[in-house]
Order: sequence, then C-alpha cells, then structure tokens
Amino acid sequence: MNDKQFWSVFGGLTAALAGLFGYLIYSEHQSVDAAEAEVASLRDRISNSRAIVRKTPEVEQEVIILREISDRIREILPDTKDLNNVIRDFQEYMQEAEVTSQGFKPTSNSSSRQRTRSAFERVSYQWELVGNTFQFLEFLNRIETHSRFMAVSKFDIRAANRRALLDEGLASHRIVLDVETYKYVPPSAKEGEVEIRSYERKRDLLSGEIGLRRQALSLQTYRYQGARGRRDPLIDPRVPARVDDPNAWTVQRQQEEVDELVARVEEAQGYWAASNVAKSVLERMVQRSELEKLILRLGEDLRRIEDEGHVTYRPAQTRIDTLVAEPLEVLRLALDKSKAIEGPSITALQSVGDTMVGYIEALEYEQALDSFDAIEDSLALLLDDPEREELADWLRLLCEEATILRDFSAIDFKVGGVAIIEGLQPVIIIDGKRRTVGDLVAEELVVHSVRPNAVDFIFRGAIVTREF
Amino acid sequence: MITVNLLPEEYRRRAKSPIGMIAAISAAVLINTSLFAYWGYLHFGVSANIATTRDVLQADLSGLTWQVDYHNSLEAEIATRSQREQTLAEITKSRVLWTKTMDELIDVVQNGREGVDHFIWFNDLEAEVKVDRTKHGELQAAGVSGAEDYAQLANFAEDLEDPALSSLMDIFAAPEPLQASQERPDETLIPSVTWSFPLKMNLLSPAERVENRETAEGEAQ
Repeated sequence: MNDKQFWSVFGGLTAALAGLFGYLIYSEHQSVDAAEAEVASLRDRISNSRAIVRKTPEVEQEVIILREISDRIREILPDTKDLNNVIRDFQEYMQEAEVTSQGFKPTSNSSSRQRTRSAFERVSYQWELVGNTFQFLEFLNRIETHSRFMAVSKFDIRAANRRALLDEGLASHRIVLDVETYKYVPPSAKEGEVEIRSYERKRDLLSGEIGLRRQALSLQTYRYQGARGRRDPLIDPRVPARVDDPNAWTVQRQQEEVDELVARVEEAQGYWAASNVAKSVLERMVQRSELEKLILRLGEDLRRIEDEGHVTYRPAQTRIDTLVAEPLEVLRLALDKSKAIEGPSITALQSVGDTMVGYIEALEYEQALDSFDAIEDSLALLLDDPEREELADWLRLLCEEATILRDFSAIDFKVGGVAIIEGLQPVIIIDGKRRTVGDLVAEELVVHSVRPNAVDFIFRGAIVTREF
Repeated sequence: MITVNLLPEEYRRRAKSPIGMIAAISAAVLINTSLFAYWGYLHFGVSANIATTRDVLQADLSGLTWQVDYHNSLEAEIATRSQREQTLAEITKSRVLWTKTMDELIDVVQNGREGVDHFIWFNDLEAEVKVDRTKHGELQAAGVSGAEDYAQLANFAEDLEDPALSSLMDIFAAPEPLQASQERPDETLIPSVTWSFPLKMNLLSPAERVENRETAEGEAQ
C-alpha cells in the first residue's frame, strides 16, 4: 500500500468514525430533549395533581354535608309524586281549618306554565272550597308549611252574598285554589356514593355545619295566628240602619265582643273537660269551682249584651247563639246535674283529710288550707248525711289546726336562753326580754311552760311548741 | 511503475520520521475519542440522570393518581347531589307566601277606622303567580269603600304602601292608579253610600321579591 492509498483509507476510516459518533451524539441529544420534555410534563401533572389533592378535604366535607342533608332535601323535593298522601294530608288540613271541599282535580301539566327542560316535574291540583276567609287562610297556611314543598299558584275567592249571609249567619265564600307540588327528575339515574374513610368521625366533626345547612334548607314559612278579632274582608260589614240608637256598635266592635265571649266559652269547656279527666278529687274540685265562676260571669255578660241589643250584625248574632249561648247552657246543665248527685263522697272527704294531714305534718300549712278551700263550698251539701258530716267536721278541725299553725309559724322571735331551777318559776329569754309562765310574748301568744329544749305557748286556745 | 534511484549514495536523501502521519493519526484519534467521550457523557450521564428523574416522578404521579381519581369522584358526587339543592332553590324563589300576604292585606283593611280613615271590603279577590319574563302575577280584587267621602280610597291606597302596616310592597309594585264609581245608595244600611273600585297590584319579579325579603330580614336583625 503506498502513501496515497494509506491516506485514503485512513481518512475514510476517521471520517466514518467521526460520522458515527456524531450521529450517536445527535440521537442522544434527541432522546435527552424528549426525556426532559417528559420530565417537565410529569412535573406539571404532579403539580396539578397536588393542587387538586390539597382541596380534597374541603370537597370531602362538602360531600359529607350533602349526604347528611340529602334526606331533608328529598323530603322537601321528593323523587316521587306521592299524590295519594298529598290528598290525604289535604283532607286532614281541611278538617282542621274547617273548610269544606266541593271537588278537586289534577290540572294539565302541558300548559305554558309547565317547564319541560327543568330538573323537576310540576304536579298541579285544583280544589274547590267553601269557607270564610280566615278558615281559608288557616288551610292555606297548612299547605305552605307542609314538609313537602308546595306553592299556591292561583286562587280566586268569590264572596258569599249578603242574602246568604243573613240567612245562614256564616260566610261561605266559594274558593278555587290551584296548588302545585314538585317531583324531582334527576338528570342521570346514577347517584353513587364514594367511600370516605373514617366517615363517622368526620361527620361528627362537621355536625355544627350540617345543622346549619339543614336549618338553611327550611322553607320560608309564615306563622298565621288566626282572625285575632279582625273582620272578614270579604263580608259586607254594613249594619242595618238604626235611627233609634246612635251609639249602636260597629260591626267590628260586635265581632270583637262575640270573639271574646266565644274564647271564654272555650275556656269554660276546657275547665269542664279537665275536671272530667282530673287525676285527683282535689284537682276536679278546683276545676269545677273555676268553671262555676266562669259560667256565672259569662251568663251575666251574655244577658247584658242581649238586653242592650247591641249585636245586630247577623253573623255575629248567629255566632252568639251557636258558639256562646248553646254551649253555655249545655255546660250549666251538666254542672248542675253533677252537683245534684254529688257533693263530695266519703272517699273524697277522706282523701282530702289525708292530704291535709300530710301537708300539716310536712309543715306545709298553706297547701293544707288550699286543699280545704277547694272543698269548703261543697261541705254545706252534706248536712243531711251524718256519716259524711262527721268527716266534714274533721276537715274543718284540720283547717283550724292548719290556720293556727300557719299563723304561729309566722310569728318571729328569738330565744336567748332558759333557766329552770327547782322550786322556782322557769325563766326564758325571748327577744332579749325575760319571760316566765303566763307572760304575753306577742298578740294572743302566752308562755305556757318552759322545757330544756322547747317552750310551749298558748295560742288561740291551743298549745303550740317551739323547739330551739 | 517502478522508480529507481540512480543517485550516488552521498547524494541520496536520508530517510526522516513521518511527522505528518503521526500528527494526522493523532488528530484523528483525538477527534474520534473526544466524540466518543462526549457521547458517553450524554448517554451514561445526562440521559441516565434524566431517566432516573423521570422514574422518580412517575412513581410520584402514580401515588397521586388514585387521590386525584378519588377527588374527581367526590366532585362528581357533589355535582349530582347539589343539583337537587339548586333545583329546590330555583322553585322556592318564585313562591309567594299567600297566607302572609292575605294576612297583611286583612291588617291593612282592619287598620281603617270606620268613618275616619277607610272602611273597605271586597266582593271577590283573585291572585296568581305567573312564570313569565315580564309578567310575574298579580292580586286583583273588586273592592268597596263604605263611605260617602271617596277620598278615603286614597287613605286605603296609602295604607297599602305603608311599610309600618305591612310588607306588601316587598312583593308587589305600587297599586295601579285609583278609579271608583258610586253605587246606588241603600238607605237600609249604614253606611248607605258606597264606592266600588278595582284593586290591582302586580307582583315584582322573583329576584326583586327575594332581594326585598333579604333586605327586610337584614334590617330586622
């Protein structure tokens, strides 16, 4: 091989090697760049993932809260129409509100009011009712406070005409009412639950927040408090012209007076009912005593109103007849009947006596006297019955005893010391003054005898002891 | 071709060391060795280092992936569950508590003193809530004013708007302008003169009603 050949071969080999290494370096650079890009991408993904994961505890809390309040949300906005129960509830509400239904029907959902793309389905019913405005509001209030969301979309009240009002005495407005309720239509049927570790512990920690969110779910409601003496705005309130009496009561005044009488009759009925279910004889007597007084006062007021002829408004007159006079007469008769056959029985008298003894022994003299007061009036009925009269005397004795003891215990004095010397009058220091047997300590209170730890007094003819 | 050197010995050129060759070979070796070394540095140094970093990051990401999946599942559950809550908010927004509205209207009617302020009653009363962009519903009534003095109607209209008597204006726009016509007097009744008038109040939009209610609640607190 000559020089030329050598240099050719040598040059070629060198260049080939350099080319190979150049290629390898180039490839390596490519792969390094790709790897670096991948690393950068991984760093980004990790950074994003960490940012997401940092928020997981908050999201977890929100899920726990939503799960815990979901039962309440479902109650307000259920998945089902459940119309049968709604109708049952309505009947109950109508009975409570004293409105009467004359019919009901579902109204069409295909009207322009029906929204088709919403997550809920509207279910509407139309009711035809009869009642006065306050009864209607009572019913309306029950609908608007129903646990399920309900809304009154429309109502129309046609006032009872004056002629019907005069004839019947009660306002019977005709009312058409449209009520809507809603069924939730979930966008997808799937509502799966993700498993959350230590769920119960986390839920307990969130109990305050859960309570607040539950509270926030409460629907806006209104506390309706009834007529409260107001006149029905759908009743023509004019009264017949009375030229003879310029001081005639206005309709409003008439309504208010009647309302008050009705309330008092209801109170009297409450006493009667309570006396019939009283657990003790004493309690029954207390209730009857109150009832008797109330009936008496009510009778007087009713007579005065009727004599003066102030109530001329026909609905008010009808209410007086049906809600005051008639129930009052029924109560009076029932009370008289119970009195005629009764008077306190032997058992009742014995029971009161035992109760009084118990109170006296427990030093509760006022309660003992209250027990006697409850029965005292009826003791006069026992004059013809020697056996019960004997018990009545015992009760009177207990009453006297309780009175003396109560009054004696109310007298306040301090005992300073006692000196008892054989052969001499014992001496006692009361309120810093020296006293001996026969001395007057206070009004009607005379020292009777002195003992080492007690002193006996004569008080209103009885011997009473104060220990010290 | 054969070359024959015919010069005498003393004239012939003496053989020299091949410096050029040595230099050329050295340069070739140096270049190729450097290239090889650089490639080795890239392959076994830089590339391996990046690969290690990548493996570590991959492991990190794998550890985070299930947490992200868990987070996404929770988000999906929130989306599903809160839809019902949002729906509830949507439907409750437009509800009018008619018990409250009617109760307050009765208060306003009752507030009038017969013969002094106003003495009003209604022959019929109608109310409706509409789901419409422009019309939101209304309350209409066929009213009667029992007084000779028709100015008492203005007293009633003022009472309707008086916030001290009711919050009716939180949900209604002001009543439409007054108009009335006198009925034939009935001398058998007191008052004998009456004026009939239509009462119409338009409901505000649900958003305005909610805003007014919240403002009122805020003031009450």
